[in-house]
Amino acid sequence: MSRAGLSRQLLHIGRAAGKGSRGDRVRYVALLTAAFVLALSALAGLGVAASYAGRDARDRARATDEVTAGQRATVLWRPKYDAVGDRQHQVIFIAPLSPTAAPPPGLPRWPAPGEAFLSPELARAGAAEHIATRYGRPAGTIAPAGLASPTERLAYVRPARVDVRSDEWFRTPGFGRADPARLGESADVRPMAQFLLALGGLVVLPAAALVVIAARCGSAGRDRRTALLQALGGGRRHRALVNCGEAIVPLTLGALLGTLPYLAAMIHDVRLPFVGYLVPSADLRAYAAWTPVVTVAAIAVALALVVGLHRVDRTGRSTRPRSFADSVPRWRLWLCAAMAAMFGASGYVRGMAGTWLYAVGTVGLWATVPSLAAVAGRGLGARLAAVGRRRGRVSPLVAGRWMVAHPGVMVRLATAVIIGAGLVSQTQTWVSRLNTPALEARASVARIGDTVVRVDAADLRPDRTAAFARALPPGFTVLGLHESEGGGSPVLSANCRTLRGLGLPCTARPAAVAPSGADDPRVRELSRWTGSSGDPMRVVGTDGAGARPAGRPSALVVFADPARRGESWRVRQAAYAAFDWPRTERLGELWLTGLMRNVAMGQWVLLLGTAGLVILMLAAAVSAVAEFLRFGPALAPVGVQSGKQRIFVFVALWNLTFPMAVATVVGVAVASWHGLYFIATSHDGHFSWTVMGVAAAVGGCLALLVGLTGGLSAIRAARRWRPAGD
Amino acid sequence: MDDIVRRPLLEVAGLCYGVGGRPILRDLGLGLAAGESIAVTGPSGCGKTTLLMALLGLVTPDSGTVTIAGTDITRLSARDLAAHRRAHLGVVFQFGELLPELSPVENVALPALLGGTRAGRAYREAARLLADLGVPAAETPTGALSGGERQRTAVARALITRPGLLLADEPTGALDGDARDVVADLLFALPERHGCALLVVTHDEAVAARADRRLRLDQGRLAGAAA
Repeated sequence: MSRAGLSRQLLHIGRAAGKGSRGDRVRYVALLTAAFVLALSALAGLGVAASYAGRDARDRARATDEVTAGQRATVLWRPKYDAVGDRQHQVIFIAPLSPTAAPPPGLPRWPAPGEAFLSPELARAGAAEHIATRYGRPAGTIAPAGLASPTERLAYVRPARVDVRSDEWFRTPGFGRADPARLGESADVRPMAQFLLALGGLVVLPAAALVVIAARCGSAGRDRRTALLQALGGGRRHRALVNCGEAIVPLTLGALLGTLPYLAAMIHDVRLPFVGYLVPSADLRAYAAWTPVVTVAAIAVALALVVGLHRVDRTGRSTRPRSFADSVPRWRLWLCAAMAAMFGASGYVRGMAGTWLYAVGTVGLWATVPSLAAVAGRGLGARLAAVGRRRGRVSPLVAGRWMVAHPGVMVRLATAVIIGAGLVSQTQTWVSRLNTPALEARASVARIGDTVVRVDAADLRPDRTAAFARALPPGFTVLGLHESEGGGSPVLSANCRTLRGLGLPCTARPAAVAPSGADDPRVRELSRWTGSSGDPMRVVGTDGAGARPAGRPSALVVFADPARRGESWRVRQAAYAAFDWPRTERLGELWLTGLMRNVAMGQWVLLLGTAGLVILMLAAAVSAVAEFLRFGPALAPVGVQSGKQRIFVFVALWNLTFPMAVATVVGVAVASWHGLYFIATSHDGHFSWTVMGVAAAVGGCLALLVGLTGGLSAIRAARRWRPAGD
Repeated sequence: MDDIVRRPLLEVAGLCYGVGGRPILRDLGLGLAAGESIAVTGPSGCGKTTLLMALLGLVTPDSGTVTIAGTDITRLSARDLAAHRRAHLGVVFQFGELLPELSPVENVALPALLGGTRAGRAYREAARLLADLGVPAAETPTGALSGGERQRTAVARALITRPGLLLADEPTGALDGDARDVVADLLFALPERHGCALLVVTHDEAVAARADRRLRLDQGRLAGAAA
């Protein structure tokens, strides 16, 4: 037979052998799922590369440079910051100096004076805050070509009044620069290498682990086949071809299915959960030619793993997942207890030592939990068997005895669930951590909401301030804030009627108002944020007896009546209408927006970590079902004699679902305690019961799915069982 | 009593079965009464196990009937067949097919428990059968039993539901020497002790010689074998 003919024949043999083997369907589905996950995670890497390339190109196209000698300025340009909710965004003020100057990328034309172009995401996120009219008349949306990503919040604003001589403007020759300074969203983006490293560690590695487990699913039969092929004179290539023939169909099918979500993301911008990031479909399309390359590479890697994991075992010992016949060494349990104690003590130790105790205790606790799970699994199995025996219930009796004899099945499941719940809970808790000012800012928001807004602007002329005050509806009160550059506490100024309305004294000389001395909660908060304990905020009347003109304030403070809570957007809108590039912020807002950057990064870790953990749990589940398949034929004779096939499902439910459900409950309980203890001792962060609820629901569903799959697969294996005495 | 003995507990008539156009069982007929034993012998591949599977209802014959305790099992639905098997049939497999993680008592009690017998009664009956069949320590782990003890435990498991018909598939195939003789003697004493019918499939002529009747399966047909 020719070499090609033999290869075809061997591939065909492999395919036929796979169809008839025990647990063939489980392995088929496992390989298909593994290839799906591997291809999808590899394509996610391609998507990251495509997004970064697109972002870089657009960043270069929209970047500007200051004019140098000999260059002619055609554009006035000035970036500022604003916020919607707790998320900061950039507002870029622009104006053309020449009628031929090209508008920024993404804009079909220059906005007219007093007009603004917003990014679609900013328009969507700020709809409740009437963002469309905050910076002027809406001119339209910024096209994708002008945005770092579809998720970017950005505004291009052309002020109604432009003083071309103002030093506040940057003068540029136009848009486009080879080495851009990062603007907008790009300023907060981590380098691509870091992102790919996180994706690789948190998602691609677990995906590869899933391929390994799927490849070894029901390996006993294949190991015998490999040995037989070798005995018959088959070389490495022949054995590889048979293994490829068996695995190539599910792997190809799985990888092709894995491309479907990616292809969907190439058609439409898809929003990712947790982070809310819109995957830029146009960028993915630009890298479309790489999609088949990456898909084929994923199939090749999976096939290489399948072949590499079915080498002839020269030692003669099987490479099947071994069952845990030996008892767990006692020192491991002591180590687990020591790690728990170390974690517990970390709450009482300050500084770096406390952080180290926490980190080592946490990692050590998770690392030693499998030993505890093995002991607990055996104990649980023994009790289950005892109950089954006492009550004459076959399923718990058999399942309990199997748990005692093979606790590895349960340990893998429990470890995945417990570590999964722990990691998700810890990431969530750390992400929710605040620094002290941010903590105070959040407390301020909880007490007074957005009823105090500070407005800073370079041109707080009396006429503009008056126009600003007139633009606000009833229920808003405008006060001046005077901050001297030479130090000293800031002075709040207003007429006596306004001051008395806020419960403040009206004196000709500035009078100190400590937070504790103010009746109005808004004044208390303002005093907290503008003064210090040794140098409290002061108040002065502008129209009382002996009053002197307070002069132009350095900032304005707007108090809203409690009935106007949630309407700070009116203040921002009025400020942008009255002043040139104002900065408006709720008390402590800068701390909260700064914090959100860290939160956003934590949410990426949460997204990638959760994806990786779901894959790991899937791997543990596949491994458990595969091992359970070994038990199916053991029960088959009893099934034949008794005619009761439901026993397979019940034993699987007891053997797989029950311990996994217990592990989920224990894992969620331990993770909740872990997170709550951390919060209680650090007085920081908040615990998300929603995240824990989702983890519990995923664990519960997976437990049921694993049990039913195991049971039904065992029924199928048992149906094929025949007495082989002939 | 005479009436019961005369009326066959197992009656096979016109049984035909083939795979891929190759006939394995051809117009096969057989009758077996309570208290009687039959040994079916024949060369490897002659269809002994197929015959056993047809008697268990694990394969559906192309034609013919298999009547057990007055009911033709080839016409039964899967559920009724399972119930009929539970009520009338006991099986001993070549390798015992016990669960090594369970004790012998638990292994023996399994079919009774699955049939709805109360736990206490099932375990008592299992212990009694094991003692009867000479399995020494009923609570020894099954994995620690000798081959002969494991096979005797399998016999006890087949007997616990008090079946009218006991089928044994190469019951001594995995044993040799004394162990084989002990198990064979025990099996063929069962029809007399328990009043059941026994059909043993074996290729071991010495074992078959203990049966009341010996039949030889050749070319898909059963014929009386020389003693």
